[in-house]
Amino acid sequence: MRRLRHFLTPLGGASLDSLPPAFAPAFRRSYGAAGRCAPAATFGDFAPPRARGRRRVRAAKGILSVLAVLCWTVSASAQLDPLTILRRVPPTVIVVFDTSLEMLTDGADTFYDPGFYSSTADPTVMNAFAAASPPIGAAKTYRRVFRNFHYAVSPGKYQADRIAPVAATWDPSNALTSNAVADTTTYFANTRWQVARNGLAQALTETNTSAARWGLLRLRQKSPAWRSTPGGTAAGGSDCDKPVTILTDPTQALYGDTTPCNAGGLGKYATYAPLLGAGAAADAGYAQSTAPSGTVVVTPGANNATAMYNVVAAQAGNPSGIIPASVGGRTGTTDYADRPLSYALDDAKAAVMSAMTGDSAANRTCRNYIIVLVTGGQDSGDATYVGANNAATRATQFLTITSSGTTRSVPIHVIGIKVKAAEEAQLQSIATNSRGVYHNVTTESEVTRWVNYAVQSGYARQADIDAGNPSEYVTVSPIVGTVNLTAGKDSAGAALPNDVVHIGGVSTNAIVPQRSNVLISAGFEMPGFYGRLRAFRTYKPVTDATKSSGYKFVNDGTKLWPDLDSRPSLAGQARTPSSASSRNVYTYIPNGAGGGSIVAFTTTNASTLAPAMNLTATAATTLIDYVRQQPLGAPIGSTPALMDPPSLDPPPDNDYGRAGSTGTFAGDHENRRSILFVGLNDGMMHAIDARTGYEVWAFIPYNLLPKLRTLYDGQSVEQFEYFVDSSPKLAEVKISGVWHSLLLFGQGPGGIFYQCFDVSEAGMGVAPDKDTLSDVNNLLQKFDSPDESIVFRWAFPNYGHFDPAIKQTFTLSDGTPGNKLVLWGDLSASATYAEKTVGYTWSDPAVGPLDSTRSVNGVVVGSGYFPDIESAITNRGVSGPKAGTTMFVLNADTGVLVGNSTGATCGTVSGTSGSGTGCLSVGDVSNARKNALHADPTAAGDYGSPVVNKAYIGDIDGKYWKFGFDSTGALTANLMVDTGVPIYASSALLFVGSTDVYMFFATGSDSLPTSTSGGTGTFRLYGLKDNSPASGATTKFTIDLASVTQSGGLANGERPSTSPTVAGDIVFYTSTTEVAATPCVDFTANLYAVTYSGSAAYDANNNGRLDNNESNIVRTATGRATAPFIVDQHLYFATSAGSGGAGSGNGGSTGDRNGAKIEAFGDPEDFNNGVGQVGVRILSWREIR
Amino acid sequence: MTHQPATIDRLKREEGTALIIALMATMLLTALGMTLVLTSNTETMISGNYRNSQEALYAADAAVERVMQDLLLIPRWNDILTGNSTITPACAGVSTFTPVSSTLSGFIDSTTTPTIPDSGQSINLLNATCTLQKSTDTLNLWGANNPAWRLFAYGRMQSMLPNNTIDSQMYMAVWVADDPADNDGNPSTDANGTLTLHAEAYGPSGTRKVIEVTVAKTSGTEIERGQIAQRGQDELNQRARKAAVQTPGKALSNMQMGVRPGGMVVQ
Repeated sequence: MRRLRHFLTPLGGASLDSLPPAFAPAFRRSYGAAGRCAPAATFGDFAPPRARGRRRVRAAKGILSVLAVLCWTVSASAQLDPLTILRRVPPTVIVVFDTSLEMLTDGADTFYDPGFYSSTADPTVMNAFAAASPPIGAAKTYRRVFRNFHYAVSPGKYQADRIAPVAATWDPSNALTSNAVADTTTYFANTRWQVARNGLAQALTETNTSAARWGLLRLRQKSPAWRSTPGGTAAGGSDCDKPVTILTDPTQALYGDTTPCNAGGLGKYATYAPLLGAGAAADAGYAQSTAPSGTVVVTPGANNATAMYNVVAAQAGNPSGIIPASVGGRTGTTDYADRPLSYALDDAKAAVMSAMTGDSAANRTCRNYIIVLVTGGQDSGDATYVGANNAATRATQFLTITSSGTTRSVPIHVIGIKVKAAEEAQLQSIATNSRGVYHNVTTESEVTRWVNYAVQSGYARQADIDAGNPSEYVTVSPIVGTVNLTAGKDSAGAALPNDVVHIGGVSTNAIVPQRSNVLISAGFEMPGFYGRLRAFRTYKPVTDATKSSGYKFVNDGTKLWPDLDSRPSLAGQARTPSSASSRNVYTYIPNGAGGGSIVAFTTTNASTLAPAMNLTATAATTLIDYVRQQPLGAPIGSTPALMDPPSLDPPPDNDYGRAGSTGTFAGDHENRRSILFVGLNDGMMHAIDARTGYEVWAFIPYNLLPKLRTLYDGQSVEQFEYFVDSSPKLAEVKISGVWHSLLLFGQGPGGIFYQCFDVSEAGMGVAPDKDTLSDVNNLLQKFDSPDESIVFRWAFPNYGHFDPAIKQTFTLSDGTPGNKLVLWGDLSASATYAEKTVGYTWSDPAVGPLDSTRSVNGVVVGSGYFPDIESAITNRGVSGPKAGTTMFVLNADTGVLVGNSTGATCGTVSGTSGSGTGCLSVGDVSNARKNALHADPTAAGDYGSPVVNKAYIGDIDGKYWKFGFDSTGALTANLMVDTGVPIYASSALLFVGSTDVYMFFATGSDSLPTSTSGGTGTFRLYGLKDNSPASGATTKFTIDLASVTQSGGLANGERPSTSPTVAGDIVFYTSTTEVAATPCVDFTANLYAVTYSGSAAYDANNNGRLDNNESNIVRTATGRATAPFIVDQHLYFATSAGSGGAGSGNGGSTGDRNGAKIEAFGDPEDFNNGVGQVGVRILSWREIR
Repeated sequence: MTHQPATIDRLKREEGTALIIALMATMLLTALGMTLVLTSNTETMISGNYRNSQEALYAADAAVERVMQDLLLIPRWNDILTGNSTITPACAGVSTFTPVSSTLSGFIDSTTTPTIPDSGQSINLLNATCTLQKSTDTLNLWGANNPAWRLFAYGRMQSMLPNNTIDSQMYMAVWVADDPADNDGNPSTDANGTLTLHAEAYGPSGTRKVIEVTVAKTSGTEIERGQIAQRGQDELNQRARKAAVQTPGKALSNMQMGVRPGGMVVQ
């Protein structure tokens, strides 16, 4: 739904002027300056083309300048693109477009004659239209809409019940009236032709560079052509098609066309249906045994989206466009269209084979080929053709297409446009027989959605496509936490063995706690970008008399979350409730006075939500309903967080307490259900019950409401629209003497806000071992009122400083996906200076007390990245602050900068140090990158103190900083080292002794496009030691990764995969290696393990000793690695193969078919250690006797 | 008067002296030998008792260590401090005497009236609890916070490890009680994560050793005041230093799991 994006910068940054003259106004009308997202039929009032009452007037106060759309090109930046790893071998997507005459109908036999008719050339015949409503009036030209239009049995050609004339804007004597929106867009709005073209055009704008190798085929048409109108300059000539016999209109039966086209008598009328050859039966498409010239409109290949767009966007009359022309007929009382889909599939198959042959050997082995059949109906032709051809059977050939030694399965995704019910079965079969999908749609947005889906399907792994399966990608770390599994079941509903074990196996003995017992993976499925969050039992107890508990805890991996409501396909994964009406989805609406309230995101509240969505209430209702019905979206950069019951041992203070201590935080919440929080690109932060996998609560940030419309036409692989793509952070914080569990999260590349919720009560009220559907429903009821179990606390910037009516579009070259950035709303003029320094909130906050009494708790966070476009943004401007380079210390209670409540200014670093209050900018070195504090700060304190007083973070300029802060908001920055290479991910810290602090981080990122500044070169793993109290840091070690170069847009070398982590004085890094010359060979991932001094930490070659030259790479795996995650003496990371990869998935012995898997390290028989959570030590010992 | 010389001569010859000396020497040696034997026996007995005593001391300490393993596995220590309401033997002077913990250790015998190995002595652990409780109550050092002892673990040393791995005839019992220093006035509730353990070991020849230990919950490792930058976990929990992954310096074991099929497989 990025209408304006292509409207203004259609392809590759092309200007508006490059659009076909008739097409651009069409999009203006349809989507308007406010960015309408759907055609009139569904979202007709998205745009405010006319003032509609006072609300419209108020909206208009936003002034057109607020709604301004801008094209702005910058290059001095370096932005991560988290889907870079996915877009490796783009698929070839061949669109087969139904060019039959029936595309000019609305699916209900109403034919929209593309020609113009003079209202003065034949005054007599105008009497036939005297009763037209609305009347033709003084219009110089008019159009003819034929109702119940059919072919006629020979000698007649067509028949119709009547003609509904439509006054046209065009006056041949006035050039300024040509290509009016009413004539080019409004008139055709109901036609299949228009719906299909506009929907496809939009998809092309969203995937307009390298994410697909487009191709376009038409039906077998022999010299299709527009007639003298609409292509000519006159309002029709003598070259009409005729006759159309009027059957039922008594008035029209009394007249007939004579000038300029004589249709042959009374009741006979002309039409300007496009011409196919000479219009003879031999010219019919179904009569062409071989594909005529021009059948392949755009030869499949790279970088031809623009060429294809130009064909698709060409208006009626443009000979280079798609011309719906047929030679159909009628047998008895039944029409047959000239729509030879069987031949079209033959041509598509030939195009695939040709493309395979023309492909490079390196890519051919794994490139996917996708057919998109856009059609108004089933395979059709005369009796001879139908008797000899069966399109559904033809489709089976696409299961195995062989060319140049390569065999591919090529799915056919069928997009039916207003297909009649009787014709759907065959189209469904075509899709099914080729492992594609079929959808019958009525709107342009739906066409875009399913074309996007088809492109997405090309990003399934080749082996999965060949097997008819989707692929799953896991781009964030798996996590491990504790979930009550008493009487738990696996995903098939079978009871878990040894769910509860007692010490020594004696039932009267104490229960052995099973901690860190559930592993959560968060990935997404292609096609669809569907979220796939899965839960596994980490280990299982096995009796072992040598253990004090009587059990050892061995590796398991049993899938959890069974089906509870007859949706077996969702078993084993997180899901929304079966009824969309049961979902507890909320947003926040500011009140204009600095406050606001939580509002249920329901159609009931559409009128309240509509202004925030920048939509009318009607459109908002439609969109709300759509959003609520969507399944979980894709986690791409959001690592889930699992909230266990309060469990700090020893407790920080008496108020925190322990389990069993009534009146304490831990005691009162010991039976809280474990809740999983995850941000998804469906617009929401979700709370998911970790025992059952059901979503129980979701929140749409206020600033993302206007952007929701982009979901309506699906997600483009290229110009992916991010929403809540940031990792949630959970913190237990004491506020005003009371402990709370807080949830804090940003939006990653999706938006510019951080928000905080109190989740202390989330999961209370339903016993943690309950897991029936009834229990789920009971749990849902604990969240079904605003602020019931999860309470909104604050947002930074303040939501009240966001203007949803702003919309600006920018063309970027900083790595932003698709090179396009659309601001769906932005900060208002009332935003503070500090708020305007916030970028896209990639940086995840660190939380901790700023003083020993915990009276002030800080949220320490970087400002994230922001493109270099501030000066062109409505409420920022040249004089506004640059965003992205600032460190903030917020009050966890209020969200206000500590010591700087007005946020009127922020300090700035000068050279290697600087100071400020509550916020401090590190500035921007003059290089090819705009600087940003993109990473998560890693906070720390002094030995033995709970107070957090420092944080470490790197920036995109390559500088590594140490920030100091206190409860007054005093903030200082000191440079540790300058690596000169961008730093995107957070650091790991290690404390050695009481004073030594070691910092570990990596430069570069495997999500940084190689085309951007800093995207190539040598990246390093760093280990530093803080020189405190002296300044700076000492580099303890650096490890050079294999140098990265760019080749054909792909990386060639080794890059780090996000952040390292530490356990047992050992730091672990992961990296991804790509070989550009062999894109069909999966990535490889390295796991590095080094001591804090930089030496190898493990016996990597397994020879029984640690050699002097022992490698610090302890594991090389297939696929792209996520960051490592460590708990319970085990390390985990996920790997996903790229979209290339000719193998059958890299699941190895696990039998995984899709290439995403979990790598785990540690003793397979030594889980559930509890180390790091609780221990017992002797305080005193004495001998009595 | 010619006879005197013969006697004198005979006497002068000192014949038999050697015998006497030999006899005396023999007697002396016998006495010495007997002394040595007696001394050896005594020393043997002493050393045996000492050995038993030391063994009992170590056994009591081992019992404490064993109980600490249980405590590590029990998150709610209040469960330990609650008496089993179905076992209420009489104990003169002690009201509502529930001597056995409602949550027992994994180290328990089949009876609370065991016979000490190699001794034949029988002990009644419930009576022993009564004695211990009355002793504590008599001292009354902490008033309302006086420990209420619960029998928690008891059994033969040999049972501590399978297959009679330990060659010992010791029998141990461990009682638990709330740490009186928490000063909460409720000996059945742990308010400060601290317990008192009373361990006794019984052996041959009436050997008995008693130790008392105060134990506290703590983090398994040192609490760090920093994060490790790892996403997905509770913020505060991130601050606990994590134990090493397996054994540094050794090889790392690898497991894999496909996310669709599940099943963690050792490689």
